[in-house]
Amino acid sequence: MIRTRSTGQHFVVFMVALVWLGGCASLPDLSSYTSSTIRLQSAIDSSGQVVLASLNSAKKALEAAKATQAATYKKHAGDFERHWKARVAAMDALVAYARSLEEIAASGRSGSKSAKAVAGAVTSFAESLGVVPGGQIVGVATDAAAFVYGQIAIIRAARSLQESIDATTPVLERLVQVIDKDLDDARKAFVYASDATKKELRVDYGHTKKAWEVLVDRRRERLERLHLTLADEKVSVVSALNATEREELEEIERRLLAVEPEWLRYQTKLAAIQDREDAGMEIISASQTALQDWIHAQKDLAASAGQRRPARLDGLADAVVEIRSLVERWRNL
Amino acid sequence: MSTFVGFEACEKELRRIINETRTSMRAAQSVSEDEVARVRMEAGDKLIEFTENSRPKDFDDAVEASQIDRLDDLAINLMRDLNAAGVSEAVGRIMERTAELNQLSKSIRKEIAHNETRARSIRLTGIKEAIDSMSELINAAKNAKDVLDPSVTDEAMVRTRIERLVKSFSDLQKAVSVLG
Repeated sequence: MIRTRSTGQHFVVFMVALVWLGGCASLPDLSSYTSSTIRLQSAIDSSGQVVLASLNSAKKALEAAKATQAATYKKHAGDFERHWKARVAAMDALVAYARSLEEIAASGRSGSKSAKAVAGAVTSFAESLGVVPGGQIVGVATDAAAFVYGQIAIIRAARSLQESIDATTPVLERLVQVIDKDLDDARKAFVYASDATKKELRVDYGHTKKAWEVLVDRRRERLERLHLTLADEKVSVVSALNATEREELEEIERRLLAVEPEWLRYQTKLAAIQDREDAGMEIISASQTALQDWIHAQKDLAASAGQRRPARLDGLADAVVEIRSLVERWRNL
Repeated sequence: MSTFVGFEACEKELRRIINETRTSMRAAQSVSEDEVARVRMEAGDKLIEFTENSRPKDFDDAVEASQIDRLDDLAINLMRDLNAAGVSEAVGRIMERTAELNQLSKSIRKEIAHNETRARSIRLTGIKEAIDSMSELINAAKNAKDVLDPSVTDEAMVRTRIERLVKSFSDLQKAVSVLG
């Protein structure tokens, strides 16, 4: 009897201790961390696509100009595509890592359920073999064991999370540094390639530009010589001119009108390349910002696990959501 | 930008741009990659602007126009080389970092595997696997039951116990299947 009471008291003390420990250990909600990591992966992937598209555009523009550098851009596009895959694979690893943390937390939360399933099933099995007695005693013991294991699972999950985050954070910091440098170089490659495309367009339309400007200069010259202004010409003061002077001005006007559509086409194409360049630059910059936000969140996750406080992961989603809309805009250009 | 009229003026201007670019590039290389990139882009702009502003004295003089076209081609090719060199360096640096990146990814993958083990251990998956591994034993018991003669009392008793064992085991498997 004394022995039973003592065992019961020990059991109560053990349970109270576990509940206290369980209360201290908390499992963070990592769903926003995982979803932000998935979106970050997609942002890095999109940045690569933006750069690749830019390299291919430059290659195409140079091919059209029959320039020898087209082959160089083709090679760089191939190299870039192949090596950027390693960045996407690294981001895949980050996503899998985030999911593995979430899995640990989920296992901790379902510890009581797991224990109950195992304890209940093993007991029934043992009963059928005649190893343990059935009935209420076993039921109470199973419930108690499940409760106790539920608390243990929370503590073990919290400790596992802490261990994993502590072990991985330095690796992740280095990974983020490398990808950040890659994004810097990706931006440089992107800008050079986009610039090459714009300049090829300027080369293509160089004669149009020259013709346009020469004609505009000639017109101004003639008008100045005749003490007229462009406004005068537009209101048809040309009636004051002699036949030769009028014919000369009319010829310039005719040539300007002939060049004008080409000139406008050039400006429209240049504006389109510039729009894509601006949108692409925004995607790469936003990816870099999101990458920094992500590593700050990771560090906060590491600190919060040690300090037993919830991690600040809310701001993480904003940066990556912005990238999605930027990518959509870029695709529509 | 002002215009350069006539072959001599154009040649002089192109020479000036090339020399200025050389000097600026040398200075930029000791500063940073960003500075090199800035100088390259700026030089490219000057070269392309040159081609847009080079003019023959007389547009109807085919010889002079062709000489100036050759200067333009020189400027255009130089501009293309500058851009291609910039892309080449940037892509090259990305390629150089791939090996380290693969190494970092590998470390993360190792930690993921470790986390999976941790999660499985918390979920008591080991017990489930032990139960799963007992399936073969139960199948053997089922086979043994079939060779027992139900008309013989002792053998009938063993058959009943095997049936009970198989049913309990099946219930056990169902119960632990939730562990994943």
